[in-house]
Amino acid sequence: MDEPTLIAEARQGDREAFNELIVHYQSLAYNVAYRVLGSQDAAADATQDAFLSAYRAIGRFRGGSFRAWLTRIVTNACYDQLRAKQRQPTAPLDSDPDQESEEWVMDPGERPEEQVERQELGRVIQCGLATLPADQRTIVVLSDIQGMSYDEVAHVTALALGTVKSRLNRGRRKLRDYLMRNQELLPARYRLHDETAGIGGLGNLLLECSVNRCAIRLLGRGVGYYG
Amino acid sequence: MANRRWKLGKTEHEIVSEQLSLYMDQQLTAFDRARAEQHLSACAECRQGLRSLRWTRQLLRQAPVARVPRSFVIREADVVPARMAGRRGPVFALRWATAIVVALLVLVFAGDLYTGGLLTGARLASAPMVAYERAVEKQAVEGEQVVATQEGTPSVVADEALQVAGMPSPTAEAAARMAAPEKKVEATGAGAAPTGAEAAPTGAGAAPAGAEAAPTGSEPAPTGTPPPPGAVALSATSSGEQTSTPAAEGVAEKARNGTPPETDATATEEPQPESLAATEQPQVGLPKTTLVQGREARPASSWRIGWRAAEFGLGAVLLVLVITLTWMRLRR
Repeated sequence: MDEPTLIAEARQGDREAFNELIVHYQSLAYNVAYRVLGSQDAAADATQDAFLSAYRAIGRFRGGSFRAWLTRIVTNACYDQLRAKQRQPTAPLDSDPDQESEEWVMDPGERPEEQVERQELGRVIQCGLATLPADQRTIVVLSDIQGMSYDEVAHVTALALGTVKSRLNRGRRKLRDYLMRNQELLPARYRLHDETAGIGGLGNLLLECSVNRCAIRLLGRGVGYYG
Repeated sequence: MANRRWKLGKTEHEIVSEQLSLYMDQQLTAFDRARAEQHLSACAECRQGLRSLRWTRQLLRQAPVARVPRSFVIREADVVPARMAGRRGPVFALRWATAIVVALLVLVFAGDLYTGGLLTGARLASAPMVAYERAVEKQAVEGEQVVATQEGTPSVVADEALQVAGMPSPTAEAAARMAAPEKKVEATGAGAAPTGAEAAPTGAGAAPAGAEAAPTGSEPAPTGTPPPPGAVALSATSSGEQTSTPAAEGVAEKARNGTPPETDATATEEPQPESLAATEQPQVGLPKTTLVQGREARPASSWRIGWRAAEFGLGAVLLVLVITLTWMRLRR
């Protein structure tokens, strides 16, 4: 795919050229939206809205990283979805389908049990992300899940680099605390083993926190937190 | 070293533990990095914190990728209906309605201005003001001349009234002619002109209209109805004249009763005040006729109320539309 050519053609109004860009970036866009919103339907709506907005605004694209430009539109669409949901407090919070119906892209080299364990890991991470504020969650998703650099995250979120660093630091620490409290929900191979004392004190911590409310919810019916 | 206090009163341990995320991503400066490495070599808690952060980042990087539930390619139907839906929605209709109301409001304002609702009204209101002020100034100058030439006269206006009472032929007739079509204005009453009209019955054969106007005009300030702005300004500028009105009334009353006024001798002896009154009185009355025309033009243009009603009505509709649009936008 010659991205600059496709972008140039899309700027001339070529819908097919823009659709080729969509095919290339729709997985990125949907996964960002899904991790930020925590719901398949909301993520699909945000992704569709983002692509439509990008199609209408492609004429204003000034060059640079198309990926960052598109991701910025996606995150804005996610914030729109969150705001719209907040304005409807009467809507049931757990109306979203659980993640059992979610389909994952699996590495064909993985064995089936490894794929299941990764799905479990994905659910625990999603539940942990739900504990973060939206601004920290977005930056953690962009940086640690999508693998963007600090500068790219700052460009996508239109934030100062220092703000990105501080929010990522706080988000990581909160998520770390959550994951350490709920390690029993993780497959064994993803747990953090104490290199000096074995399970030791960390095991006590995990035992103490195993009745965490979100853990119960996660075990019961899924981790959708959109809204 | 670990307990050494740095800026903001934080210990080195607190600072390094907060910088572990940046240290992990190699985002620290050389100084901070050296300090962190030195501290990590001595602090097991920070080492454990760094390890847990690396573990967290590793887990996030291993998070599975969600499969896209459907294709998000844009079809022609996705683009066109979205635009059309935006045009057919209630917000679109309200926007058009608001634009139309604004256009109508502009047209109504323009029509009101063009047909003289504001400009002509201002011109009519200001015309008698200018003329009357000019007349008052002239009267003041000539009054000073009179005072300088005849000492002993109580006031210029009293002399005018005496002269009008004694020799009414030019003054009373002129005042009567002017008073004839303006009974309403005389009812609101200014001071100077009524003296001439009031003197008419005692004078030599004034017009009946002047005689009719005289009793009402002789009232100091009946003001059953509040005077319009022009009249208010007029009465304000003629306050000095109104102060002299009782004197003139007293003279005129005596003339009506047939008793010669006290200053009649001086008035008849001096012909100059007569000419003064004869030349001055119409000038004082002139702005009144203009004012009368302005006042009579307002009832004649009562259709302007329609303009006002349209302006207020459209303004109310516009306010409702703007509030509705704002509410719908906030609700969305």
